[in-house]
Amino acid sequence: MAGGGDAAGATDRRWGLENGSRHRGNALTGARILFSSIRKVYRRDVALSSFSLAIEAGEFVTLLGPSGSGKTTALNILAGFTAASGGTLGVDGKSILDLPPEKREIGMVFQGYSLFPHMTVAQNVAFPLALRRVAKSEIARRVGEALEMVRLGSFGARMPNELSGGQRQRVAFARAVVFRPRVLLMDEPLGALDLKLREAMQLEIKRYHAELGCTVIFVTHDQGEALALSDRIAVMTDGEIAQVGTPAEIYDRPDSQYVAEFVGRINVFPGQRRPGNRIEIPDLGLTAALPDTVAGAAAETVNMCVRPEDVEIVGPADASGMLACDATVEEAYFLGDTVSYSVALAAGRRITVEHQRRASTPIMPAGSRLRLGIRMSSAHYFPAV
Amino acid sequence: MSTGPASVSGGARWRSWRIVSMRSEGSSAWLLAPAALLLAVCFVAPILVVFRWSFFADGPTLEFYREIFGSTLYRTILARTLVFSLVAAVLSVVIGYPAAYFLATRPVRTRMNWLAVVLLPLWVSSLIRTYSWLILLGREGPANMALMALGLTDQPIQFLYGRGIVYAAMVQVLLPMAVTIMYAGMLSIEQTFIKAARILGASPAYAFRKVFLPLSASGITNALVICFVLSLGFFITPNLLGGPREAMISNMIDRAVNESLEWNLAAALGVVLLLVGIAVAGILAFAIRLLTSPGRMPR
Ligand SMILES: Nc1ncnc2c1ncn2[C@@H]1O[C@H](COP(=O)(O)OP(=O)(O)OP(=O)(O)O)[C@@H](O)[C@H]1O
Ligand SMILES: [Mg+2]
Repeated sequence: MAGGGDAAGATDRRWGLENGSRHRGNALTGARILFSSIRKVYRRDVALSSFSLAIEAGEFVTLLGPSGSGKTTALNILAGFTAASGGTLGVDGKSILDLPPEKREIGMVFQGYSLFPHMTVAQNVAFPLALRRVAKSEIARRVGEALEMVRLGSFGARMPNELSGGQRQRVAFARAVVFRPRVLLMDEPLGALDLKLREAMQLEIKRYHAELGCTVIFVTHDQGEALALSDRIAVMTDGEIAQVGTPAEIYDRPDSQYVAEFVGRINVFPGQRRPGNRIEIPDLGLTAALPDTVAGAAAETVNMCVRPEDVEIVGPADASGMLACDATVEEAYFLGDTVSYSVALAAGRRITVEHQRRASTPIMPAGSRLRLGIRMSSAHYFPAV
Repeated sequence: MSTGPASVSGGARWRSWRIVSMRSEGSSAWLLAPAALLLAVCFVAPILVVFRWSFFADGPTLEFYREIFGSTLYRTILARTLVFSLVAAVLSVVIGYPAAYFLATRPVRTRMNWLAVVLLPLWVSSLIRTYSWLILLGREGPANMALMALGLTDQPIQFLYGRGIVYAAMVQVLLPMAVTIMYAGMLSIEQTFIKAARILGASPAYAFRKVFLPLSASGITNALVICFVLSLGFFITPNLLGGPREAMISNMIDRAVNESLEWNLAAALGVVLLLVGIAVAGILAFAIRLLTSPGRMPR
């Protein structure tokens, strides 16, 4: 039986189980995880080309990327379901690539929950404990505790198919953490839930993370979810990490146009480099100074990128410090707290403008003419490839 | 004969149809009508006639049942029929399970090809398959010729007319059935169940025992019951390959109908076979549930 013998003994000692009960919340310290140049090559695809990521103990890191960018592959390699084609992977400084999944002491929540349909909720949650030869009374106590944590204390005797989606999700979470793994992997755990439930579960997951203290790697292609939950986000593309950083870094200081376009929305204005470190933007009919970071790049074409909320609707006079231009509303999307306008510039380019609103703010109908101000300091410049 | 207790998966299919049809149970009952009519005419009515024959000669009588249970010959043959059928069914399931597992765990692309291979024998009638055993294993058949040519034996070996060959032939007929039935059941077991068990700490063997096996139990039961019930009705195979000493109940019924013309006795034999078959099938289903349950957890 796996997980028995020394491994289980070590786990028990690590969590001080022989001293009887321990308070939740201070019990765990997460593990450090280090992916170094991990590769995974399939016959037709390179799923991961050179995946390097250092994750601190207790950190909540999200892998964010489009479908097929290698997120699941990275998790599966860490979990031991997929063998890496190259590179090294360490947990707390020890390589784990040679261990089978059952020896890795990693918790995992699967997209489809994967609760065992022939076992009750309590049996599902008890499964990893029974495997670790935890005493019967201790199992009962910890299963109860885990189910309490996910607010399903009275659901132990139910079968999985008698639960709602959100409840299944929570049981899967309880099962994944009940043996107190120091690493928790979640592969699009909220993908199947409706919006309201998603938001509620996001809060719950944040709470569990704070309570448990384990290192979490979370996979999603929902950027809002990534921004809301993570300590850091790794934005992936084609089996590589495009940028790693805190949500604010990723959103406010994207390294590349790819990241800028993938996280949040952004308007792109193609521009031509002009002498004296300036850029001419035909769509706006003006030239602007290039920041030093881009000035050295070789490319002749440089794109100026501005987020919709950084484009302001201004009065005729007060566009000081901004690039101003005229535009016509083509469509207005009412989003409640904001209105998203699709507007056409004089030169023909269509851009998106997001306008914060209150109950009293009127919505401009299609055809309205307005003046826009683009804050220079919030523009991003990326050399076109 | 055939599917009485074996339609275990029918319930699930029926439920999913109700979801598709979005009707209540009552208003969709007409869907059953064609099948019910067919069964009533071709199955229930004949069975009732057979029941009647077995209890009535000139008046109501139990003499045919007395004849069956009073005769050592019939009792022996009945017992042999049960043992043969049970052993053949168990062998088919035991041999077929790994094959079904193999099929169910193939990638979708190659699965169909493998399934075609498994189903290939069904294209040849079981009569022809049985005769081919006769040719292959006869005193002067290719098997004996080869063995003698290789010097492994100097006398032809008596393969035919014994228990072993009957089992082999029965299993060979039942195997594709057992494999497909269990395979169909296994398709509903998600691969991530096994992954989940592994990452929670289970070795491959433990994950199989506690997760895969219990989830494949209904498939095992279906296969076992169907193979068992089909075996009860075999008579070509034991007749041709086993010889008179390995006769089964069906051979006795055949003889009573076609040679001695004791139709009432044949009917009584049929009733006994039916009832015993149902009882054993029930016991089998129960036993499989017990054997494959993940055990009481938490331990
Ligand atoms: N078993 C496999 N055999 C062959 N190619 C595979 C296999 N698994 C994944 N791939 C390929 O590897 C690449 C990365 O897949 P992966 O599942 O990691 O993507 P993902 O980022 O998780 O996508 P999604 O958001 O759709 O889940 C894809 O191009 C995929 O086709
Ligand atoms: Mg994925």
